[in-house]
Order: sequence, then structure tokens, then C-alpha cells
Amino acid sequence: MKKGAVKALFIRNVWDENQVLRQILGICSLLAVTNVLTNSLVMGAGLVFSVALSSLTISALRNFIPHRVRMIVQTLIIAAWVILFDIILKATMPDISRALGPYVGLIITNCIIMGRAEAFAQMNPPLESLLDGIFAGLGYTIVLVIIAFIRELLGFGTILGIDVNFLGFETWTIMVMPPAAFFLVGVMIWIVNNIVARKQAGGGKRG
Amino acid sequence: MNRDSYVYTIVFTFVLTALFATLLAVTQAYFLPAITQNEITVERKAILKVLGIPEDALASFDEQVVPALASDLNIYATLDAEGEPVGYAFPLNGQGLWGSIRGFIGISAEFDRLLGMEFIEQNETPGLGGRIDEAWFKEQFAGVPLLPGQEIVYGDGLDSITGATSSSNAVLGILNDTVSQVMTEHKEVLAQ
Repeated sequence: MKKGAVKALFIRNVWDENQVLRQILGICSLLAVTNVLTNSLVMGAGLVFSVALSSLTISALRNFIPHRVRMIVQTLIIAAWVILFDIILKATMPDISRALGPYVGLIITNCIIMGRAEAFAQMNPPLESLLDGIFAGLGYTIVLVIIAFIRELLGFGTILGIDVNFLGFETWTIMVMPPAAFFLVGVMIWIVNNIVARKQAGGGKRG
Repeated sequence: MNRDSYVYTIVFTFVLTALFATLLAVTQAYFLPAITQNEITVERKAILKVLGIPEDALASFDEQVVPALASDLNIYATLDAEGEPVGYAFPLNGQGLWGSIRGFIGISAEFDRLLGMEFIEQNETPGLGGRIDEAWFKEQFAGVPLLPGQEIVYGDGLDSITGATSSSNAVLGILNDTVSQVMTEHKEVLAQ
């Protein structure tokens, strides 16, 4: 695998085809966990872990998986890795595990993982698939962290649970509730789409 | 090898399922002691909280809190210096909007007011019904008077959660059921 290929994979997954902002996937969990930064980081870690290992496994087995049951097999593999993560989380970080509640288990149904399996892992070698999974997960995590940062700061006046409300402003309860995530995701998608559109238009003029 | 033959498909699926099931079973077995310990800690913290004992008393849990009934090990009492009960913790169980809600409630030794309410397990929607687990919601139940024949209702200093009416009402229903069960089944036995 060439050096340039890794960079291209990274840019494609984090920016060009960002799972949340460009493909609008994984929105459900994003709405739910981004009111606190810590939960978002753990959720992101869980997704990176699950999507990377699922992509790796599916890619390694891609020449052996019977075609007609491939989606069931993919789901099985995804479910196994997610449950593994859930068990580890319960044992090592019980408070966060409780805070995330059912959302860890629901990573199984996160479209990003199945999307990477279908679109990439089942026709690319294991190493590329592993990296593709990690980068796709990172793209999701970055968006999560940005939104959680804004929501926690304005909603609770804290960052990672530490009080940073030096100015003593009135915290906005709406920021902690799901609608705020819709507003922020919408704004971010709008900004990113604008940048991409401008770039394409600019490129067209020069070309 | 024909990848699309029935035999191959069945054997492949079978082997893969067995492999992953084994992996999960081994992991679960390995982490089970830690998970069990965490669950006990959560339960003990909840019991201390509903009895109004600071959380740092967790290490001396057995000195702070004693089982109140020999027959039911899930009811706890906290005693004053003379060994007289000050309050009791009763388990709280019931159906929320999406799944079971488990926890503890604390009731004063005179059975005339709530001391607190804590949840151990709840599966309400995070950000909406899940907010029943937020401190402000739970803390407002501390000190609520328990009057004979009267159920606890929202209003008058007791707020339900905006956007989570069903979960709020589920909690109230479970609470009232538990209180009435305590009053009919345990009050007389414990008062002796």
C-alpha cells in the first residue's frame, strides 16, 4: 500500500465523504450522545473500534462469505465486535456505560458500519479496509466532538465536566436537548456543503 | 468449492457463528467478576443516596446500613447511635416507557415522607425520558410527604420532564405502587 493511498483514504473518509456531513449517516446516535463531550468521545471510540474490526474481519473473509447470506454474515460480525466493546466498557468504565445506555448496543445498527462493509470492505484487502474503517470512524467522531463541545459549553457551562463558565452566563437548556443537535448538524452540513460547492465552482473557473 | 451451494452456506454460517459466540462467551466470562462488582457498587451507592448518607461511606457500607428484614435481603435500614432505625431503603421495580426501571427509594422510619429516589437501571430515551436519571429530577422527591390514602402527584414543587411525559408518569406510577406495597406489606412488620 502506497503512502499516498493512506492519505487519500483519510481525506476521503474524513472530509470528502464524511459519514455524517456528506452522507448523513449515524445521525440517531449523534443526536443522543452529543450533549456531553465525554460520552461523545467514548461513543466515537466505540464506533472506530467496531467499524475498524468489522471491516477488517469482513475483508479478510471476503473470498469465503457466501454471496447470498453476506449481509447476515456482516451483521453477525458487526454485532460480535460491538457486544465485545460493550462488555469491556461495562467492566472498565461503568459510569460511562450507564450514561450511554442502549446506544452502545445500537452501534450494531449504525449505518456507517454496514455502509463501509458493503461499499469498501467486501472488495478491498484487509489492511486498506482496516484503515478505511478507522478513518470513517474518525470522521464521525470529529463531528461528534465539535457538536458536543458546543452543546456542553452552552448547555452546561462545562467542558469534559469541568466548569468553565467564568463569565457566569445563563446556560441554555435547549442545547442539552435533542433539537440543539439538529440545529448544529444542520448548520455544519450547510457550511461544509457551501465550502465544497465553492471549491467545485472555483475549480471549474480555473479549469 | 462452490460458494453458493447450500451445504457450504450452512457450514460457513455455522462455523462463523460458533467462532464469534465462543469469543464473546470467553470475554464475558473473563470480565464477569468486574461487571458484577460494578453492579454491586452502583446498587450500594443508590442505597446510601436514598438514605441520605454521603457516598464516601461506600467503604463502610456494612456498618452504615443493615438488612432490615431477615426474610427480605433487599430492604435496608440505617440506624442512629442507639440502634433505632432512621430510614429504610426499598427496591423500586417497574416498567418504564421502553424497558424496566429499577432502583431504590428511601422512606423515613415513621413512614411519613420519602427520603430519596435513585435508579440503578433505566432504558428511557437518552436526552428525553433518560433525564429521569438527572439529579434535579430525583432530588425533588426527597422530603415528599406520604399521606395515607393519597398518591404522589406532579405539581406543587414536583416537576415532570418536558417532552418526556410518558417516562415521567411511568416513574410516578412505579413510585406510588412501591409506596403502597411498602405500606401494606412491610410497614407493620418493620414498625415492630
